[in-house]
Amino acid sequence: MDGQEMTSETILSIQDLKTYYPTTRGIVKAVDDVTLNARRREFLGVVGESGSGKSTLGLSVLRLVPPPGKIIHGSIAFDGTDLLRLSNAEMRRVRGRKISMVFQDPMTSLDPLMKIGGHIVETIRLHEGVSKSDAAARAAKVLDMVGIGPERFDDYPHQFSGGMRQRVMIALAICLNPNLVIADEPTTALDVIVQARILDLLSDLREKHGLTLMLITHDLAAVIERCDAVAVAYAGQIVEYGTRKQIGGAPLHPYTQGLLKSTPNVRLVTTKSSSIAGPIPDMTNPPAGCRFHPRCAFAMEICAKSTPAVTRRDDGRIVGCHLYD
Amino acid sequence: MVSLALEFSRVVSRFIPRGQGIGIALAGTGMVAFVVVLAVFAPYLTSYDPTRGVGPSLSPPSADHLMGTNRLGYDVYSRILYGAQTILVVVLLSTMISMIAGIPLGLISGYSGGVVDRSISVVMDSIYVFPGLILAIAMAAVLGPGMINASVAIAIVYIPTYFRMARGQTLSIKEQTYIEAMRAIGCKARTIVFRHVLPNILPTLTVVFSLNVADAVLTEAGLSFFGLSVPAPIPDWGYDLRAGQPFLPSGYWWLITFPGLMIIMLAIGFSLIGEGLNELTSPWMAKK
Amino acid sequence: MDEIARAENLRKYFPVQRSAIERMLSRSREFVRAVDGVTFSIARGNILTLAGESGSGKTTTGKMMARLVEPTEGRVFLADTDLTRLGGEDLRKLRRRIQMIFQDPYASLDPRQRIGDAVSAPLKVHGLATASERKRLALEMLEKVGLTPAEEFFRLYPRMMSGGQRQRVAIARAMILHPEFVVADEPVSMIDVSLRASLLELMVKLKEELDLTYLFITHDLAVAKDISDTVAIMYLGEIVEMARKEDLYEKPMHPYTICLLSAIPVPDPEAGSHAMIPKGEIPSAVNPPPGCRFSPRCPFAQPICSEKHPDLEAMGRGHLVACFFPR
Repeated sequence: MDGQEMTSETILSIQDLKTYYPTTRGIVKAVDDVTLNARRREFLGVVGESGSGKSTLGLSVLRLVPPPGKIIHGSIAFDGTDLLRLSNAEMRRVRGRKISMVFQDPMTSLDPLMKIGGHIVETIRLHEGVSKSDAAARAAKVLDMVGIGPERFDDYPHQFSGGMRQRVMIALAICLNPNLVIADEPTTALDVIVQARILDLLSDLREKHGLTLMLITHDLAAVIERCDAVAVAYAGQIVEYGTRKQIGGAPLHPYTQGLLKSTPNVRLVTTKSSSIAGPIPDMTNPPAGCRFHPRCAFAMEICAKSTPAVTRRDDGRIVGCHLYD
Repeated sequence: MVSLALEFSRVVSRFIPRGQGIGIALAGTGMVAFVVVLAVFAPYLTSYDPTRGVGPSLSPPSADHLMGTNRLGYDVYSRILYGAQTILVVVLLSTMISMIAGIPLGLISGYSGGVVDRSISVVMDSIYVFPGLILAIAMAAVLGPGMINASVAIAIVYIPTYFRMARGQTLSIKEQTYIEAMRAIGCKARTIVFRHVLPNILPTLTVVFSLNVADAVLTEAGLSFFGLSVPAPIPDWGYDLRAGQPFLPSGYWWLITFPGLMIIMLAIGFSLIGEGLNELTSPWMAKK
Repeated sequence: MDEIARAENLRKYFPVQRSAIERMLSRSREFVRAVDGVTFSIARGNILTLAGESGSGKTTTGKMMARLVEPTEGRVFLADTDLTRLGGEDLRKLRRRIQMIFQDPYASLDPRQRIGDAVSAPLKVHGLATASERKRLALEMLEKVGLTPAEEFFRLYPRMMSGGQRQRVAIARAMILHPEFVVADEPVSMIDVSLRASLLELMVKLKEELDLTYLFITHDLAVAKDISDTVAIMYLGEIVEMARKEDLYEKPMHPYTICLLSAIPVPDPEAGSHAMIPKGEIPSAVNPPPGCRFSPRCPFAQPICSEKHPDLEAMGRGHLVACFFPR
């Protein structure tokens, strides 16, 4: 299958990934044949709704898929090394140091009994054998980077607001100077103004420290506003990939078009948003052929029969749709 | 000795791998069913009258008397069979009384909150604090012997158990949005509590019920051990256990072995059902 | 104006929980001033959106309007009836005229109740129809909200349905008594984006068919844009701006509204983000800042802003702003 080009610019290359969860109702094919690349220092946005598999994709990269889910096929190459071939011990060294993750819910992701400064210090010392004072100095610095002053070093999580807690999570994610940060819905539980600040923070950190940032979210507007590249996920697959201008200006895949029309634009008062007809597919038994075809206004006969090939176009865009075969 | 048996079944269930809940529950059901069969078919399984001397005193198990006879010549086997009737009736009767009293009070207390809740809870807590057997003995002493009295005595011990469970569950369910939605529709409190809270308590209730009955079996045995349950000569395993004890050093083992085994089996049986159900309902609730 | 719902100076103060020792040592109580003086009215057939971030008091206000929470001060009116101090039987009967739709479609339905029973429950509770009538009306309602074939959905349990479908059930349940006034608390925030518009359209359609009036509560101004007639922005328990939809989105006057609108991402690659972010965090509602509550964070604050409290002032065309220096 044609996919994205791999160049020395590529820091993360996911190829033909399949991650399935066995459940009592059947096997949920959360990630079903995904190929996706991220370039160094790129701000990549992965957009999808429920059932799209986007969160599972992020967890798969870090091999944190909760059992009984399993990665059953494919490769995830990070800086040349296939992560899926590493031993558990080797993978543990990758997590936090090379690739780290910011999770969705800051309320429950922090140990309530640990002061936040101490939490960061411990994380640093766990991975690198530095002295306590060195670690503390680094912790203070990284907290400063996320906008938390040194006077809050000894505070407990419950003394922070949601937005501040998420900053602490981000500090934890970058304290070991990783190359890639995966943020899984980091702003969903937060208010709109706080969301903007957190996303600004992530963007800043990316620029200042040369991070590659992968933002997983359901918010298409946020991704179009800020990301360099956008991947649209539907029912376990990537249906379209392009730059923000391409996706936001002239989306190719009918799902992307529908999603864009469903996303309201506050600057256009008179334009109404619309919906995509039909239900979200059941991931234990997704539709045959193209998974979007039951809801697609442009569906043709071939769409119910065969899965469209994901092809790369001249302008660098990637789309999986029979309209563009 | 018998509380060791309960602990045993609990320990065993720790080692059962996930998904085996149904297995344990079935094993427990088997044991309980066995006792029930004995009780129901007692008249068909033996021709002896368990309340009269029908054979030589203290004779060991033989073809005539499968489990031997006791000092007064009663056939132990028949006493086991009819004893099953006694213990099952008392235990189930007392459990029903406990539930009928405890659960509605728990629901009302949990849902109303405030002064009502605090006053009822105080009363329940003071009963709960008493060690079960001691309280049952005290009640039985006051009420006197007899099947109904024994049931009531035991029932009182367990009312707080059902009360607490019902109240705790009510407190958490009360906060659910669908309860608020029912209020928004204009549902009366009484309807909400009995039509919407109570059904959502049932899964936990079945588990508590089974484990509780196991406990009640032991309490009944304890009561009858002290002669405070049904009056002699009505067959009662606990009573026979005590009666047979002095004869053990002389080698008359059958007097206590059979009643003891039956008590243990019944208690473990109910306990396993409870643990099995617990295993079965927990993942279901988590998946929701 | 044919006014359906009115709030007059609503306040709700929640006492701050204190330990027994604290209670013994000090007499004075502290209160979380969740809602601190909110006044508005909604005309028949209109949709008023109460928008704000968490802690703004919008949900509490909505619950006071639906009389699920009792106001500490102030009054609530439905048409001409003063609802505020109603209790017992009268309050229960009132429920026929005011209904509420909740945010979480996974929590607002009793998991042990079939859909058909859930939708007809309001009829049963108020003793309004025979069993067969109830079934007929419930089926009708299920069709109206797009859950067809209605017969099949009638028998299902909530766990067999998606979030969007469950929310339609919640709407059906709220509508079956043909109320006059419906409070919708973030009805689509837990629904996937591509399905929201159709749910909102359904709500508008039902509004026309059943002659309803809505109070719509949301934290997402983007969602509110399509459905509102009037929008009120709340901050720390107060309404800081209220205007017709077009005016609020195109010509916001209050600095907080401006910040809020600018922070919302726009799905337009040419737009560029020029978000104006207020500094600091939302302060606690226990001791709100003196004067204008937004002043500590306001990019345009002047000294007077922290001394005097600005009241809502009319700026023409029904546009109200609580600010000394509206933009």
